[in-house]
Amino acid sequence: MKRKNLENMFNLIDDDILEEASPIKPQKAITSKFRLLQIATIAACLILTLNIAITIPLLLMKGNDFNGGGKGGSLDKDENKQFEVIELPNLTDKENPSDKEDPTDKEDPTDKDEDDKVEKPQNVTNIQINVPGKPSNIITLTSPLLGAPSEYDKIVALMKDKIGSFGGSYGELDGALDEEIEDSSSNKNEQDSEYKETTDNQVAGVIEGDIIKRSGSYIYYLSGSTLKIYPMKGIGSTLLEQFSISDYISEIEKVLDIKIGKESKALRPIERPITPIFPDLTPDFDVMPDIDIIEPDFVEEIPNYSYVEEMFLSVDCKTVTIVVQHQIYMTRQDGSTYKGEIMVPYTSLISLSVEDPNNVYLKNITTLSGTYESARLVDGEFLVFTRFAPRTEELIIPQYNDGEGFKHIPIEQIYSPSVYKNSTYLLAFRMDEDTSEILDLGAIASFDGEIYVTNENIYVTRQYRDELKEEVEKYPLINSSGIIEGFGTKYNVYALTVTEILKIEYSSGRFLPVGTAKVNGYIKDRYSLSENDGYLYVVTTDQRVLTRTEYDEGDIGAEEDWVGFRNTTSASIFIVDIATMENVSCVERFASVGETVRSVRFDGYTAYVCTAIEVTDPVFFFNLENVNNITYSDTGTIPGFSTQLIQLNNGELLGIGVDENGYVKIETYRLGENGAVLVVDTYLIKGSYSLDYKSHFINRENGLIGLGIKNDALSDSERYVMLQYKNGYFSLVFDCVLRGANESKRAVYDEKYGFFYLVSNNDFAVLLPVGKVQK
Amino acid sequence: MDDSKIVNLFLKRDEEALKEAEKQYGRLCHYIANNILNSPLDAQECVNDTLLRAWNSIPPAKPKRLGAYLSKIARNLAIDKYKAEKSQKRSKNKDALPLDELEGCLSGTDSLIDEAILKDFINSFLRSLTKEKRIVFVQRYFYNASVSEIAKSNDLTENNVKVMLLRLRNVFSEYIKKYGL
Repeated sequence: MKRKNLENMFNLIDDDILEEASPIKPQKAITSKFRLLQIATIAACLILTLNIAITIPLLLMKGNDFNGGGKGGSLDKDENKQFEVIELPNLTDKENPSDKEDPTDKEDPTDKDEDDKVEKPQNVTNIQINVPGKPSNIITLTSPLLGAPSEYDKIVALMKDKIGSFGGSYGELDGALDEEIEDSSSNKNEQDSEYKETTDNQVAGVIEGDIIKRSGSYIYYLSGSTLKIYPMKGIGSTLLEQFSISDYISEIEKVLDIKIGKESKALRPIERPITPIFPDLTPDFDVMPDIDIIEPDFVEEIPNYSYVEEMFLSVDCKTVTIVVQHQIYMTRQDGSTYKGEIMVPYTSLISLSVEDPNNVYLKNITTLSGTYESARLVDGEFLVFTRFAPRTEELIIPQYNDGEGFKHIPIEQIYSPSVYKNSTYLLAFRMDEDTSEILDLGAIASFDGEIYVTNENIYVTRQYRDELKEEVEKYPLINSSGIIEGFGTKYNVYALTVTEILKIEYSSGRFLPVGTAKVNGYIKDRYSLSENDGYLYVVTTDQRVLTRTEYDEGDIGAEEDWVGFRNTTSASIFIVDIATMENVSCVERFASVGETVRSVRFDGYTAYVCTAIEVTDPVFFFNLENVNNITYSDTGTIPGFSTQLIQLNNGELLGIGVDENGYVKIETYRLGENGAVLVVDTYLIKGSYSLDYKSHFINRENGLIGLGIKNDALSDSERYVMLQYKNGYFSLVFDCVLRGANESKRAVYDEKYGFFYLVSNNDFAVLLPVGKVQK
Repeated sequence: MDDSKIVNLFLKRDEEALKEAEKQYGRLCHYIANNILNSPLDAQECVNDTLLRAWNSIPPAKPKRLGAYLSKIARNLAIDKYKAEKSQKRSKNKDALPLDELEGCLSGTDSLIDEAILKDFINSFLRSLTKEKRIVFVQRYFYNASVSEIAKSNDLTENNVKVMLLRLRNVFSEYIKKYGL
């Protein structure tokens, strides 16, 4: 292994390990008391309204269709000549209502009873705050922590004060558009409940989270820890409401930030499971017996950390559920065996009522163990997946809280594979979308890979190294008299990366692991998996390392020959029968040696695979209809590669990636009459784009493709580009300034009125094609 | 200010991000760079370069743990500088890097190994160790801490640290063979 490998390796150490070992800790976080004081001070002082003027250029398109731009080429400014740039009126950021105390909010007489209830449960770590229905209802802390009533009182008071105190008003609209749009917006019964999908979900009906969601009348955008609501009123639309959940996050952190040890009522030592859950993964070497380790008397606290991940909008458009990830650093204080910081991850689902966008309020908070992996919304139920890595004995069995306190997941609900490859669990929770009630839960030990969810099944993966012994040749065995006595076999022995896929059925209402399949190679992401017509398609990068050559010489004895490291990658596709989870067909190593899978997309029986070595790629089209006869063709080597492949309605494929010069490359492909894959059209844009697929706008019906583009650090180079693909050609719809990170940029197209709405962390803009008239 | 807020400032292109990052992690980056370069002035230059590189890379990067993110940048910059100076024979640091101690663990292969394999290898190795041993190993070979510093920060004697590192190197070597690298 080269020195360079050694240096690279240390760059790949997981961040939590680096933090753990960091000799210099960051500045201490504000203590809880200070934080409360700070919140109170801010709340008391925040009377000022912040008027932040944001100027956003508005591009008006000429012509009645979208064929405004030039075909192909980079987007220089000259290409925008056909667009007239005007400026929107200044948008005013409203005061953050979450920082505002409502003086009219009086204590509910029933609060006292509820507060009394808070003291009863003792041994819990998670919280669940139920506020069903209306803003005037009481928050009930059903799972208090710390056994310190004063802490609960503070939380109850804080939560209660927030309820119902978030007013807002519509922004002003210009001219003749006002009346009509105001009318359509105010008629909430007709439009608010009309859920419109903004996310290009991998599986139809299996809704994925995102930072943007919309109803018929409103756009909901998650900017950090703030939910922003914009009415879709065309030109002049402005921020209607913003609701910050940062105070809730702080309080959740505080509640979860407990001390571990004898005094802790929250984390109990576990009863030993019947059979060991994990084998001893520690390498077999002696612990130094002659060293008396003295633990430090003081360990500097590491600040807790929370991160807002994504959100969901309920299909009735009444509830927004925001997913927040917490990293809570706990200090063990029993002093007997261990002293120091450990990080325990939690995931919170914070549900807000948005039934009346002028009056957003907290509905409930549910906190689950584990690092957030992903979630889906299927038929009114959440499937939430978190990852749980045991750090101490107390935490070796995953926990959950169903609102009645902290519990370990029952052993019968932990799926235990026959072989453990790592010490993590994947936790799966099925929850009611409206009440957040946990309907089912389970833990899958040792699976830590991708999660792919269909309407009936969940597939989870894990990846590990296996050994593959491949016969190379037969050779004669010659005795001392020079006579051939037989033949020996020469083998190449590879360390092979394999992926194991576990199928879990959930359509019966219970998580039911039913079987696993194993395929050679590793998968890039969940888009490498697709269920269709009773089969699971899997695309992998086949990675095998030749570790040694073995000679089988029968009685004479075996010889091992270390041949060193040889790494050869390629790509493979497998078909697995989901009834038996057996591999029924495959095409192994179809790509050239050294190539890895860069992107995969499935459309029914068709698989699209982009592989690449550095900056050249072939795109493969597979026909999987006949499992016994998989056919495929490819483009041959073309410049650049696609990081995302998107199937279009007409059987064509859209690739988003980079070309050999580093330009953003938007390209379409189709199967030619001679069976070869052809490049149909290419559009190049100077700049960089987001690798987050959800940040792209894909509207197949109208052939619209939108993405955030950034040229360099200059703010005016932060743009949003909308293209239309029609009749085999790309054309520019608009290219306008939209500040902010590409990952934060989202677009919404209102087909009814023809407006484009662009949102980012920094900007909000509305674009109206010229010639389209508001009804 | 916590990491998420600082990263948000980076994402908003707010220059306050640099101040806050420097305030929070400047000392750590300086420590890492100085351990490699053995020159406070060069180390400070490295800290500035680290912040500049973070400014240019966030976005699109959105690190969840800013300290670790900056540490890696600072370390890489310092090692590059160390190599450059060494090649021009003007290094102020006469000592070898701690990483050189691991050279003996390497096999004779010379191919570049895929990052996914390396990541899987190093993290599974580190997670297989007890916490104390993991910290000692990472402090020595990532943070380039001296034996005396490690001993002090972990309440061990220098001899204990030396013995522990020796054994850890043997385990590391075995792990490399076991992993087929």
